[in-house]
Amino acid sequence: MYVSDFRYHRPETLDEALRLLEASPDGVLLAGGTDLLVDLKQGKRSHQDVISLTRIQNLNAISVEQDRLLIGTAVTHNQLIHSPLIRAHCRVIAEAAETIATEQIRNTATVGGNLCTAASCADTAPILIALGAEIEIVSRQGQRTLRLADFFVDHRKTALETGEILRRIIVPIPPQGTGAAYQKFGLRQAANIAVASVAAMVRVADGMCEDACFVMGAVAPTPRVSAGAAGLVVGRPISQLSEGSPLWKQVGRAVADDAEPIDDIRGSGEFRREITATLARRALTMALGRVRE
Amino acid sequence: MARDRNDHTDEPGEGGRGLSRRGFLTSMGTGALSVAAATQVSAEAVPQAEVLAAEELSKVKLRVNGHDRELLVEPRWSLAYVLRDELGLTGTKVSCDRGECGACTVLINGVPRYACITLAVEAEGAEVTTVEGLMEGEELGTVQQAFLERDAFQCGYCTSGQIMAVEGLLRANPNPSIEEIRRHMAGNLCRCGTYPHIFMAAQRASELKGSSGGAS
Repeated sequence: MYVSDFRYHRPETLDEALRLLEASPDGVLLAGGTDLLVDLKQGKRSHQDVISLTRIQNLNAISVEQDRLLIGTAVTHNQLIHSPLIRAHCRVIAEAAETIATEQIRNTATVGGNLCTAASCADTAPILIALGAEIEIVSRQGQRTLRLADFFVDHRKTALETGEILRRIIVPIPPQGTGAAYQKFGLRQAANIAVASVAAMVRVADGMCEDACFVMGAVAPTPRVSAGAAGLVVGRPISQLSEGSPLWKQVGRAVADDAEPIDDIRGSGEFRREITATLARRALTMALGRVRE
Repeated sequence: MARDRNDHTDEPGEGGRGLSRRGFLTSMGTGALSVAAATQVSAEAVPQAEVLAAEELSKVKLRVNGHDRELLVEPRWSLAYVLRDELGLTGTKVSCDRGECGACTVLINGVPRYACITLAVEAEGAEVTTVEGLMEGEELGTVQQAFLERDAFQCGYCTSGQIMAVEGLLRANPNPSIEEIRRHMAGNLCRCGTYPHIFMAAQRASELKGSSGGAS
């Protein structure tokens, strides 16, 4: 398949990459390339300059600093899945990464790429938002930190400005009493794109829900936090949230009410809303089951 | 067999007209790009990142099936294209050409990836293994033998990709469960629907690798 010509840059440092990005009118970053190359091949877009991130040190590193997990932008999904640090501190991130695409793609595609492509069905986004992740963005002017929840502006649009690179994702290691889960519904078991997905995080102390976050994917232009659902559960005893209880049902409904689903080939909006309610309830139950006080 | 080199300018052009069309375009393009590059360097007196020009052949080193290859490639060429059309390793197939079907699966640093959505220049410095690289001399490699024994193909087009995916799986997990096999192989489609036999072949390959590993 024909791919339009481009200059290929392979910087060794982030500084060089930022300089190249600034110098090129349409420069694009190449991480795993599983979205970019398909777009280039299909002629959906073309770029004069492609700037590869492969040679830049530390962009594909996962580390722990104090009570935070630092995930480099070029970490692949399979790196997340097999990382002992992720497994020890935040296994649910690995679980979400496992639901993406295929083995070959998981060996190639990066978490930074998944976030920056900003498809509303991105599988890493809901769980990272639910865990309160922040992202570190660098440019030649300096660096800024943004809540991941504020990163997604619209379908395939992020808050990333020209000349900026998402350097890493910062995830607070969940304190004791936290449980989290990711639930995804697709039309098949493998290589599926979410029809709807929900990530849930709950924090429990002395039998009371202290904090909660529900994030849905594929049912709005961006991954979306449900404000309504969190308001229902925070401050409530978790005994009221058992499977099948009125409050548990209400939570599912509240998440679905905050959705703004479209009709497409994978399902109607109405269907998506119903599925979202079910996924939210399942995610809540699973998250509560994972709480260790 | 693989060619020793892929120097286009030495080859006769289309219809044997001497200088190839691409060679001609390349020589035309070089001057203009050199000027542009020189301007850029003087404007920014800083060390420049490595850059490979568009529409030009640049030298890259690939390590394919244990052999170092120095090749001339354009930045936009996929690894699948370079393996097949420049190195003559046509065991790697291209079907969907968009990273969904798995026919082009090769191992890059030991893990299966799609060669159709990997740029050849991105594979520089990596160890690339294709289905040809699994041969043990003139004998079939273990996974290839298992596919033969379990009749794990019909038309055969997806087979080399399937074999490379199994090879990648067994390198990471020598004794996979049937569920692990199914999950790992989900990135390789078979239009003939030979999946049950492919899974059997993966199990057989695991047995064969286990017995040969135990003997040594």
